[in-house]
Amino acid sequence: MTPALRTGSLRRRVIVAGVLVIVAVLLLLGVATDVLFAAQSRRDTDTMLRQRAQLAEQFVRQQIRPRELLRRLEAAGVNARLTLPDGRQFGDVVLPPGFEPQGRGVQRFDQATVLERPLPDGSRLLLVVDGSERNAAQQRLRRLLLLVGLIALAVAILALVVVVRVALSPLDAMTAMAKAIARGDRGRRLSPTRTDTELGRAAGAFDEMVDALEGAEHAARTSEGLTRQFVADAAHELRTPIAGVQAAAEAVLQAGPTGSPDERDRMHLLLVREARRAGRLVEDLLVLARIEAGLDLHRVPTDLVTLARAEAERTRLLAPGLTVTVGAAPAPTGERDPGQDAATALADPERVAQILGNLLDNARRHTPAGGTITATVRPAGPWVEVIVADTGRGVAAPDRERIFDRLVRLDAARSADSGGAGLGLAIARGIARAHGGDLRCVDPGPVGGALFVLTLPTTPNAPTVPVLPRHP
Amino acid sequence: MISQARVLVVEDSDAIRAAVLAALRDAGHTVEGAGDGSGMERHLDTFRPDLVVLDVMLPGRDGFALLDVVRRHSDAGVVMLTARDGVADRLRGLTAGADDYVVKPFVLAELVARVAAVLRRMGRAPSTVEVGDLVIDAESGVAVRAGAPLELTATELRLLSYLAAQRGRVVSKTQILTAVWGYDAYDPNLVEVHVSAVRRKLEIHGPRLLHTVRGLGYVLRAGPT
Repeated sequence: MTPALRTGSLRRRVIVAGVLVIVAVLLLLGVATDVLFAAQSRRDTDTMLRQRAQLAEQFVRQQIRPRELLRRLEAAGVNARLTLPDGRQFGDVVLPPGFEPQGRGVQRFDQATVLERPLPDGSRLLLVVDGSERNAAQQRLRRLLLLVGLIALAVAILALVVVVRVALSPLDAMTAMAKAIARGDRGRRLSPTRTDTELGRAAGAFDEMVDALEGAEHAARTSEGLTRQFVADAAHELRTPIAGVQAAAEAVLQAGPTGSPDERDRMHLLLVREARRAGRLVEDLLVLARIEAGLDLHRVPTDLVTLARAEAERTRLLAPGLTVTVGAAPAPTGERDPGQDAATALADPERVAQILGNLLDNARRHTPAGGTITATVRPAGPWVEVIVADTGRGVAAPDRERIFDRLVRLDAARSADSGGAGLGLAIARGIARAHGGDLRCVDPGPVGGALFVLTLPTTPNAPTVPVLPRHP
Repeated sequence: MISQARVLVVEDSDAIRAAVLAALRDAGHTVEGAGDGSGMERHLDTFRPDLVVLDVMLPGRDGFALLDVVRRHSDAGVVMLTARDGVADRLRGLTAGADDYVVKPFVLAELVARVAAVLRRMGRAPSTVEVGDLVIDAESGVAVRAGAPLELTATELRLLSYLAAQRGRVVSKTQILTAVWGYDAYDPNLVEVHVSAVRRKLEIHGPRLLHTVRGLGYVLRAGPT
C-alpha cells in the first residue's frame, strides 16, 4: 500500500522557514554591527589619545607653560593632568576605579580610557577620556538596530505571505479543477504554459492522468452501452420465439374437445419448433458469453478438408437443391514448406467444425436453390485459409464488418429465410480469433456472391495478425 | 346467431399465426392468414377483412408500411402485434392509425378481447349476445332472461359470457378454466361449482339452457339437447 502523502501546510512551512532565515540574518547583522562599532570607537579613542600625547610633546618643546598646555589638550570628555618633575600637579582628572599608574601606556576601563606618557622635560602626562559618551552612542545604535530589524522582519513576513500566496495560486487552480471534474464537469484541462517547471510538470502529469481516466471512463461507458444494447437485443430476439411458444401452447389448451386432431398436431409441432428456436438462441448467447470470457481450446493438428467435407455433407442434407463442393488448393505463391501438410491447422477440431458449420449455414440460408457453395482449403505462410464462397446475392461492402456484430440482421425487418438469430457469424469470428486466427468477409470481385475467409494458424507461435489474403 | 367479423392475421412466425388464427376462429370469427405484405395485399381485395391483426417485424415491408396500405385500400380496423415495446414504437403505431397495440409475448385471450373491443367500437359486432330468451351484454355486465335480470357474481358473469360467445359449441372444463380463470389456477372443481350456480340462477326463469355433454364438457344452447 502506498503510504499516506505528507501534507503539512506548504504555505506555513515556506513562511516559517523564510522568517527563521530572516531573523537569523538580522541577528547576525546586528551583532556584527555592534561589535564593529565598538572596535572602531576604541580605535578612534586610542588614535585621539596618541595624537594629543604627541601634541603635548611638541608643546613642551615649545616651552608652553603647563596651564596653557592643559587648556590646549583638554576637550569635551578629555581631561588631562600634568605632573612636573618637581612634583607639582596641574589639571584635575577623575581616575576610574582599579587604575594602577604604570608610567607609560594605555589602560581601558568601562567608564574611561587612560593614557600615561612621560614628556621630554621629565614631567608626566595623564590623559583620561570619559567612556560614557561612547557607551551612550552604542546603546542608541543597539536600539536603532533592534527597531530597524523588527520593521524589516514585519515587512519581510508580509511580503513572504503575499509572494507565497501568489506562487501557490496554480495549486488552488488545480484543486478547483479537480473538484469540478469530480462533480462531473468532464473535458477540462490545466494546459500549463510551460512543462519544465515544478508546477508545470505537476499540471502536465495531472492533465495526463485526467486524459487517462476520462479515456478509461469513456471506454467503460461504451462497453456498458454495448452490453446494455446486447441484453436488450437478446431479450428482443428471445421474445419472438417465446411469444410463439406461449401462443401455440395456449391454442392447444383452448382447442375444444371437438377440435381436429390434425390441427392439434400442427400446434404441437409449432410449439416444439419455437421452443427449440428459443433453446438454440439461448445456447448461442451462452457460447458468445464463453468466447468473451476466454475459450478453453484443445489444439491438435486438424485436417480442415476432412472437417469441411463433414459439414458440407450436413449442408447437402439440409438443402438438396444446392451444390456444395470442398477442395484443397496449392499455396497462392507456390512457395511451400515441403514438410507441412497443406490443409492442417493447429486448432480445436470441435470448435473449427462449429465455425465451418456456421459459415455453411449462413451460405445455405443466403443462396437460392440451384446455387453453389464452395469451400477451398489452402496454405498461406504460417496459416491455413478456408475460403467459403456462395452464389447468393452477397454482402454489400459497407456491411462486411457489421455482419459480425452480435444480433445483426441486414434487413431492418427480419428476412424470412433466416433461421438464426444473427449470432452465427459473431460466434464463428470469436472462435477464430480465440485461435489467433481471423474470419473476414471480403470483396468477391466480379464473380459476386458472398466470400468468407477463415484464417487459422499452423504453428503455436504464428503471428497473431494474419496478412490480408489475396483471392483467386 | 349474431354476425361475427372477418379477420386477417399478418404474421411471419408460423406458431404465432396458427395460434392466433385458431383462437380467433374459436371466438367465432372468419379468419385468414398471411406471412408477409404481398400475401396481405392479395387478401385485402379477395377476403375483404373487417379487421387486420398486423405484426410489425415482417420480411420485406414492415408493419408500419403495411398499415398505410390497409388504410388506403380499406376501412378495416388494425391491431398491431409486435415485440417492440418502446414507447416511441407504440406511439408511432397508434399515431399512424392503428386501433390497438398488443406487445409480444401476449395472452391469446387478451388479443381476442382486444379484437372484439375494436370491432365493437367500429360497430361491426354488437356487445350483446342472445341465446334463446337469454340476453347478455358483456360491456355493461348485465344478463337478462325472459325480461328478468339475473343476480350473477363477477366470475359467474365471465363464465356465462364465455359460454355465450361459444354458444352451440361444446367446451371442455380446461377451456373454461383457461378462459375464465387464466393459467394460474387449475382446479376443475371450480368449473363444476360455478356451472351449477349459473345453471340454478338461469333455471329460475325458464327451461335448461346450460347443458352437460358427458365426457366432453358443457354447451349453452336454446332448445332440445
